[in-house]
Amino acid sequence: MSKHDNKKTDKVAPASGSLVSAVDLRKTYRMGKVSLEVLKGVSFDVRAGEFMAIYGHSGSGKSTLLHLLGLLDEPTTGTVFIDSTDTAKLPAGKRNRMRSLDVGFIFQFYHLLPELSVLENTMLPSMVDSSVLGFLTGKGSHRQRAAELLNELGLGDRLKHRPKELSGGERQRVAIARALVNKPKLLLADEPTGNLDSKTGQRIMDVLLRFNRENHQTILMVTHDEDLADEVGRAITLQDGRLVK
Amino acid sequence: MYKLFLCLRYLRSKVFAYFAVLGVALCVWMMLVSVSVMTGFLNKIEKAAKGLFGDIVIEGRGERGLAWYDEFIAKMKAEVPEVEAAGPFILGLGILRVEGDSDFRQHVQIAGIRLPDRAVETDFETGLFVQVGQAKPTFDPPLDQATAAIKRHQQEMRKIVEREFAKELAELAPQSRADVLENLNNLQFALSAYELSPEKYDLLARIDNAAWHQSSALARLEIARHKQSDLAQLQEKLRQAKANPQTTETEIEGIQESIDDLINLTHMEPADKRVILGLGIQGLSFRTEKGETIRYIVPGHRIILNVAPLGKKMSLSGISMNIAKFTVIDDSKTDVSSIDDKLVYIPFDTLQQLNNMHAEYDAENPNVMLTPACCSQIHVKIKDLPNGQKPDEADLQRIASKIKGVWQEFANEYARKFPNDPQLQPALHDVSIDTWRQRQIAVIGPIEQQRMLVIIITGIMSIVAVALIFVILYTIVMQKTREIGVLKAVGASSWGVASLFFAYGAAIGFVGSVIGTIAGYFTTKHINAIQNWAEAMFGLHVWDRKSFMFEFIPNEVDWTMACFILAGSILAGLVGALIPAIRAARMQPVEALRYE
Repeated sequence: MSKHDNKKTDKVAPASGSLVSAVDLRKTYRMGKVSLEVLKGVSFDVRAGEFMAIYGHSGSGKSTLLHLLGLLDEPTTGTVFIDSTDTAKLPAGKRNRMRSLDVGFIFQFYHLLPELSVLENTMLPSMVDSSVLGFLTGKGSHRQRAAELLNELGLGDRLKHRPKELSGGERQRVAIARALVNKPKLLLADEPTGNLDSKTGQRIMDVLLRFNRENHQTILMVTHDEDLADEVGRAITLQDGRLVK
Repeated sequence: MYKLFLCLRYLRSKVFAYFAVLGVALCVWMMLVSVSVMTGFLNKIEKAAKGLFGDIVIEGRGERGLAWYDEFIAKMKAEVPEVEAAGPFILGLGILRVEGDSDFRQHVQIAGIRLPDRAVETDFETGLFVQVGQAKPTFDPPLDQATAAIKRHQQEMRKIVEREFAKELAELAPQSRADVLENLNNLQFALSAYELSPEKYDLLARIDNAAWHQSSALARLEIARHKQSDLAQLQEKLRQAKANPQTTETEIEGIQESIDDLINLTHMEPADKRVILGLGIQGLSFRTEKGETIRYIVPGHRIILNVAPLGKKMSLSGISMNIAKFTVIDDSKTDVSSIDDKLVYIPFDTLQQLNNMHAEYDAENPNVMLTPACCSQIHVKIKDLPNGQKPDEADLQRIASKIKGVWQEFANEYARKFPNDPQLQPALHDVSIDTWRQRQIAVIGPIEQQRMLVIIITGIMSIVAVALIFVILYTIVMQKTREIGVLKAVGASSWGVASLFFAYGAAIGFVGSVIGTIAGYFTTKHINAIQNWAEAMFGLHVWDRKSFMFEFIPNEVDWTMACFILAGSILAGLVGALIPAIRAARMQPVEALRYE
């Protein structure tokens, strides 16, 4: 594969003190003979404890950028450093592990598993991370951690419910609990309020802000809502695959 | 961990997974039942054939059969160490009549056997009525054993009556019910006074008739037991009289007459005139609808056999039958209906005489033998292998060819001994030496082919189950695309997601085959009841006793096969899951998340 042997990438190092560094990320999709360059060289740093927004119109490449940062996709060239580790050089197993332990994801459409209860959905990342034996021995602490988190998010009386029995705002709060259950270094949120009415959306934003403020949770949020971008500490704008400010 | 957890959760919440499980269960059930029945059938044939004829049968073609059999058996035992036991056997034809019933006659095959040797050569003793399971059955067992067997049989008859007429009994007033039960204990039925259906009336009449016949036999046995010492004294007296040259003919005749009188009183013929009946001869017993056999003729009854002397050279003017009276002393059940309904067993030497297969000497010079004593077959039992296993077909054939060599040598030896006298040769015609299997191949071959066919057909049908699993898992993968993306987003590996679906497929296979095996187990165990029910309900007669030879459908589950089926089902589940699992594994998390 030619995407990692870019010499330019190999030479770069993350800025010191930053948790996440994007270094000259490019992403090109090939659709038959036409190739579509979604990201055209994006570089930025996120410091630990920061709440940063990536603002852009739809089609600006912001979701793709978020997926690259969350190791859900691989850049055509460029790399992502997480906690000083060059993720482009990691084998698949390590990337899986990093995705499970170091990164948490929140999606616009929640993506909860309908067969599982609220509590089980929240525990899913800790289950993925452990073997049967490891899970059974650590089950109590996993459960406790998940329940505490759900309590904190005001879902303490909903543990046994199925996702379809919840409102949109409640579902997104379960998704937040799931993303945070493994205490990730980085929380990535992809339009977390995009599917909610403004009042509920604001409550979700409040939750995120609170986690950032009280727990120093590093959060990177993608949004097309300028007002939301203004609410957080720092915002960068993405336009046609490039950062504009 | 999540794999197991999600797998169980999906299995529980996806209704169409039940269809896949059902499909697998159906295939497993069908295969297990049909293969079990057929394997059981083959095992039964093997057991019956070995039980009747031993492992290897030596047979002389032509009615004269084999001569010098005891000499040959001694030689064979000395030279073929694998032989455990061997004995001569005569098969004759005759007509059976029952004393005191001039209407009854039934053609039968008469087997001349040596007891207790035969119990070593075959499993003869396991199916006996009086001497069941006794290692050394004889034609002269203690009479109280026969009485006890009949009493046990009557106990069973009472149970049948109580079962069949439970409804009628329940309707009676308590006092009269007690009376009826009292009568029942004496096998005297007052129930006929009540309104019964024709079938029930018929059953009751038959049981009544059987009880009446049995009571006369019991009475004779009782007298015989009392007169046993008298008879022994008379016989001793006769022996002494014959030994004493001064005794006159009249004196001997006098003693002989008293012995005959005693035999006429007790109906107990001497030990060489005893018969063991096959249990199933028309008119000597009957079968209830539930399959129990009730005997009219039991030990203590006397029968008459007209034997066609097939061992004799036939002249143009024909042959006259040899007639003898026999006392029934036991009956034998092999479970092969074609044998039980026409075979009776009498002592070997007696049948040799009646069949004219005994040795004949020159009338003028008793030292000159004209024809030697003969038998029709020699039944050979082979020892277990040194490792304790039963010899298989290949072992038996190897031993059979060894025996052939010994026989050839033996025949040549006698050919040199009596070069000018073919009548004194061991055999006049060809001699066949076959294993039980070779003799039964006409029956076994088609069944083995059928079994293979059933396995192939159900195997092909199992492809449908695999396809079902495939379609269902594929649908689930498509439905769950976004969730697979989520799993990958929280750190699940490609192999982890794939193994989730493999586990799912294997679980469908496993659960399905467990259900199928349980269903198959119960179906097989109760297959006779199911057959009876189907027959009564829809007139479906699947198991024909005539053509299948056995009374009951074999109902032993073939567990070796069940293990293979279980493994095969799990494999089928994995195969069905293969493509869906690969598809799930190769899904890019981003694409999966975008999937609507």
